[in-house]
Amino acid sequence: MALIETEGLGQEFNRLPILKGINLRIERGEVFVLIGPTGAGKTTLLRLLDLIDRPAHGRIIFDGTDVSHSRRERLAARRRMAYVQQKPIVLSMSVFDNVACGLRFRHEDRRTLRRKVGETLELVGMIDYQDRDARTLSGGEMQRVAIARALVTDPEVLLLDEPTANLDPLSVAKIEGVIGEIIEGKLITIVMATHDMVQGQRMATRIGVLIGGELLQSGPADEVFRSPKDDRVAAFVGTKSPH
Amino acid sequence: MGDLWDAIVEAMRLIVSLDPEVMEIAWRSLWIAAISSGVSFLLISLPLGCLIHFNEFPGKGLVIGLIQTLFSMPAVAVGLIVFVLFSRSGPLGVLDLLFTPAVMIIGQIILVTPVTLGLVISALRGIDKAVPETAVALGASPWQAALVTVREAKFAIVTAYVMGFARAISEVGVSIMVGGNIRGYTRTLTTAISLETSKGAIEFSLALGFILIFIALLVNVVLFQLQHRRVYALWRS
Repeated sequence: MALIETEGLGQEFNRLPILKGINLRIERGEVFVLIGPTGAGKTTLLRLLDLIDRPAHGRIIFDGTDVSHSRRERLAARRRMAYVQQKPIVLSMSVFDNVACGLRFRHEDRRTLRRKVGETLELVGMIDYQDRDARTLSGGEMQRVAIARALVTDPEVLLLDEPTANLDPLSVAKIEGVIGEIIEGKLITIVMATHDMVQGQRMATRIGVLIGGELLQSGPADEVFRSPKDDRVAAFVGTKSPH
Repeated sequence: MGDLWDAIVEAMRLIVSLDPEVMEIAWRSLWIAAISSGVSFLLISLPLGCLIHFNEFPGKGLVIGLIQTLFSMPAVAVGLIVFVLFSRSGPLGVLDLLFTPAVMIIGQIILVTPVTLGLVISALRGIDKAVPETAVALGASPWQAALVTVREAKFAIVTAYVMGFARAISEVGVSIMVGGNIRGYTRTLTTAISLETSKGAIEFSLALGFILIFIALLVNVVLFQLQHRRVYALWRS
């Protein structure tokens, strides 16, 4: 049974379809990378998968349960996932308190909270910044805090939306290193959106190509890049058209 | 000019000597305004403001527009409405509250609530939508996400309370109409200033006026300190 499954998932904005009939199966422990040009609907799809927004059409099945409707089931499922936004928002509190947020929402006891936050800050290399006001951090540091904030709750699914967009090469390397360590642990399912195809290819177990709100192709990275299913995929991945 | 100077000196003497009547009036003004603005802010504006901000419903824009229109509601009109409601022949006359501090508090709550409510809504609207979304993405329930937003808006929300307090302590229309300006019972700084000035007791009025200005100044200093501490905390970090 797939951990995340979508059936005919669609989203609209001002009655304009921005995501159309997405059928997706993501297995436990998989690193599924969504690639596609800007405006393809990658963020919209991640927001739906994290159950932040409600879909206009279709349904989402998380670990065998349809989580499209019930508020309680949506919250329970969301608490098993974590989402890192493209432009992370840090709350006006210390780095430590930012990272502790998710644990506090889950009423974690104080001792466990301190231990988990410390360990996670260590993992992302931000332990020396724990008392600093998070709003004074650089973009790359904020992104690492956002990743720590997501990881600290031990999510089963980590949703990453362009985690290295607009960052300097050093910050990109640090964040890719952190994601690499998470992947090596293999205890987590990752769904990552990126328009950086090299990054996608490097990290993915499977790749999905999202163009114009449609999931045109999904499969192992080699297959997608060597045998694109149609012209649009071929044009995007920069290989020869099948026709 | 000499008369004015004499009045100022006498006013200062009344304040410095902690004149019992001046202090008693000042104290009553303070606690009535603190209770009315506190009740308005904590029990009405904060929960209702959150309810309006965090929920989508038809006519929401109209409701917010109406609240903002009521910012400039004349105190004397509120006083008149409350007077009619609580007068012996009025629908709430049976409570026998007219000319008591309780009805002054009720009147001030009605006067102050549009201001505190409107400012609470503005404070919440000033917070980036991504803040509650981030909280939700981190596993917050709708209630927890709302609390995170309120926390992010805390300085602007405190300003809402302070503005409500300032409106309550400086109003005269409600207090004089429903309080009756009874010496030792419902007399406040503003009603006493109005009465003493009409009697020609300028020194006493000035003393009360200085206290009122001093309270306004104190409120502003507290507000400035709160905002300054925020800036300082950011700078330090």
